[in-house]
Amino acid sequence: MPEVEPLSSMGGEGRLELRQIGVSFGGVAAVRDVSLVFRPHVITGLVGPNGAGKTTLLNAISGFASVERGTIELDRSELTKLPAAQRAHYGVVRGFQTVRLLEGETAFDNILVGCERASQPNIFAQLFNLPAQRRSWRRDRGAAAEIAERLGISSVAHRPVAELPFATRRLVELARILVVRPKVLLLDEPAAGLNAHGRRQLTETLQAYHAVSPFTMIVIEHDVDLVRRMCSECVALAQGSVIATGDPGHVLDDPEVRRAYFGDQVHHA
Amino acid sequence: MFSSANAIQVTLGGLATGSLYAVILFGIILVFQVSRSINFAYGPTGMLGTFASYALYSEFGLPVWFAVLIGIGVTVLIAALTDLLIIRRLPPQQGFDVVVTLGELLFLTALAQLVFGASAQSYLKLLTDVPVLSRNIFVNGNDVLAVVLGVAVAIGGYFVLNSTSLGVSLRAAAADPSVAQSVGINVRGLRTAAWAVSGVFVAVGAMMFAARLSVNAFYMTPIVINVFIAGMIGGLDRYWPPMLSAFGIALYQSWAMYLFGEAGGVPALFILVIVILAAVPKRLLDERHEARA
Amino acid sequence: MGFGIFIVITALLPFVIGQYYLYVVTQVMIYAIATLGLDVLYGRTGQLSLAHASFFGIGAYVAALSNTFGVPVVLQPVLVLGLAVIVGALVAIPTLRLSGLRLALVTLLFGELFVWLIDHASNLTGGSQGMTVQPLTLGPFDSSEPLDGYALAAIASLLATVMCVQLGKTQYGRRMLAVRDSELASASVGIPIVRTKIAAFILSAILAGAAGWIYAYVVGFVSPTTFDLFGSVNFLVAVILGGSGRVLGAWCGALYIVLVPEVFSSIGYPNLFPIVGGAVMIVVAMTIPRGLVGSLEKLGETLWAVRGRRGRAGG
Repeated sequence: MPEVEPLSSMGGEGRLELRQIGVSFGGVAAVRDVSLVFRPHVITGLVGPNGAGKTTLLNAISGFASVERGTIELDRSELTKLPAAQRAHYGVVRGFQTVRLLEGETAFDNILVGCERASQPNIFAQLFNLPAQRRSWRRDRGAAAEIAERLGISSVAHRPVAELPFATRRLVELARILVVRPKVLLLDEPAAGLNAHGRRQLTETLQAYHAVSPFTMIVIEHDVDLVRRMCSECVALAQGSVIATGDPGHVLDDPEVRRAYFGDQVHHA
Repeated sequence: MFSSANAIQVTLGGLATGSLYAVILFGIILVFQVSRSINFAYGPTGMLGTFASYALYSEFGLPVWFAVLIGIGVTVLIAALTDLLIIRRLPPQQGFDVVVTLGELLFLTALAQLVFGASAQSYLKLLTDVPVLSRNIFVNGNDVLAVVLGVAVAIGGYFVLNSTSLGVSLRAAAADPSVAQSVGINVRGLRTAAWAVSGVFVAVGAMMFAARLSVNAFYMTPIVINVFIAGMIGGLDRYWPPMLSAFGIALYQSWAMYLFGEAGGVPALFILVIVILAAVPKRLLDERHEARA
Repeated sequence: MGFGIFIVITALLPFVIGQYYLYVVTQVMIYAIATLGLDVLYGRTGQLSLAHASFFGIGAYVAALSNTFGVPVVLQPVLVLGLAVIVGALVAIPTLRLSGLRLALVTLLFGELFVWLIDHASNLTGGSQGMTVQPLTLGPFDSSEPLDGYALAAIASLLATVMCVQLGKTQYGRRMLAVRDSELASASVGIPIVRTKIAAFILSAILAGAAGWIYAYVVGFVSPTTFDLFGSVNFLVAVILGGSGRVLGAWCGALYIVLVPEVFSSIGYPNLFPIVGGAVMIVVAMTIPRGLVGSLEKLGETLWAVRGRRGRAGG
């Protein structure tokens, strides 16, 4: 079985530490003074009302929003100033809320794009198909086929992604991320747009994969049941600040969280 | 050689050219702001109207003002049809608006060559033979008309785009077509109208330039390139920066040509663009990006 | 297998067709190399360049001026390669700050500068009148002989084709598609976007330069009108007509660039080609945006799917 060498060659296992992170857009603070430690191999749920700064925090970690204050460290390597593409090579990889794929290509080719993070031969070896290129070509295709199999999308691997239903597209994006094991996986509402069956399937798939090759995972999710089922830790944000951390059951039942989350709409609680 | 009279002459010449650039640029801004498209066939569109008016005048003996009006009409028609027949019907794929208008550029230029011949011709005088100021400095009626038009279009255009409900509708249609549609703005009609109206400006600019040079089917290409560059430098989603760039580029180029000879224009422009690209902060150069989410 | 067929046909062709047609096929091969270059840049990487004919021209003028400056034959390909890499990288520098339309405008300006250079170095280049190119001779090889020119173009086009097919199977090829389709997704998996664009510019410049170099020797005459904005737009028509991002599409585009003007000339209307070219671009973009090859592929897939369904239903 061809195996993709995990890129986590820099040692460490995915301990992500944020120290007093601040992000603002045009003078308006979206995230303020957030300090958090994400322990290796733990799945953390990020919850909070709309506009709480969840996506901004995810963007800051993945390098898609620039951090004004504070530092981001992964296993003692500082990432704060690195562009997104370089953070990906450190193993910090994200999915997009709306799913971003190469619309003109097949699902399989979309997954292959994720092999960017595996080591590749130089451009001459690539263009002249030298042995190193042939090895990595076999390795990448093997890895892509394997992850497609594991996520149950083998049967549509050769279809153009533009023709696939949303739930499948979500899995294709996930396969692109998981084809080389990430150190830190960031997902922004992965269950949004899926029906109950799709959600259950997605969580089971993710959990099964995580059980075999663990990684640190941060997931933004509005589905409270999903957070309870999947996450072993939970962080609640409101107005750009952390208001509670800890065990999901504990955090989700916290009165302050409930107030921030549900406002006055929940009378029956 | 170098005298204050020369300096004034060069500056006035640049000002007149810049005014015509501004007139042409206004049409580009209008189209860009409402449909986020660029019409690469913009120059040839005006060229065809110009040639048509000249043919009507010289072959059919129509009076000048009538020939000019019909010529503008021809340009407006081509511009409107470009949107109606082509841009509207494009598959929703980014960048194809550029590609098809490049095709149209090729088509219209070759068509004009076929119909009007490849050799350079002179065009209607349009006041170029009326001296206005002449002791050491020569200014003709065409220059004066150009400056008047340029300033009028720049200021008038600003008020139309910023202070009228039409301007608001235009910007709404550009910012979010579906939202604009839902509040009752006829987005498709507005777009076609903007394309059509842009024809007026390029036709006027093309005719004014034709009166100064002897022209062939390619004469608008370098002119429109300069105007596009002004738009690129200033940013087509803004107003005064590109408009002022149009004047700036013309002044800069007329000085470059005065100091380094007629041939100095192209490399001078190239150097200017490189310097500006290197010097301007990146955020001012950002354009349509994928939405972040 | 495809390459095997290509080689067999290429080897047999000179025995089957006359010299004139051999010359036409040679031109198709040359234009195929250059079109493959623009396909790498526009079709695969999504960067619209209006200076492709200028890169073609750089190669052509290296050939044309080599005689004047006495550049030895063996050094010329190195010179073409070096110039293509340097100029390709220079034109790509604005990609650090620009994309899309603005980038296209800068490349357009570069194209204008190239034609300006040719026009204003008229004592060397003959200006807008053009200049004749002395044939390339090396031992028994003489590029003005149809068969020799054909052999040169055939070998070069085979190499270019193999390279572009191979590119599709590499990390660089995948990076290009990713940068074209979604820069956000590219960044999220670690693709260096600017470096990918610059690599695409350089590769496309090399292919165009090599094609131009052979072109000058085979045709024996160069003039700036071949290398101006309209030349660049013609390459764009070829890529889009054949089908963006497809090697076979670039060959179809090259067939169009060479054969259609030949046909119009033979019936006495050489001026019709640019008009038709413009119309083709518009019609193709509106009706078959995937181009000829892309649309045939799609058609094939659909037929295959229908047949598969019938087969299952029947069995």
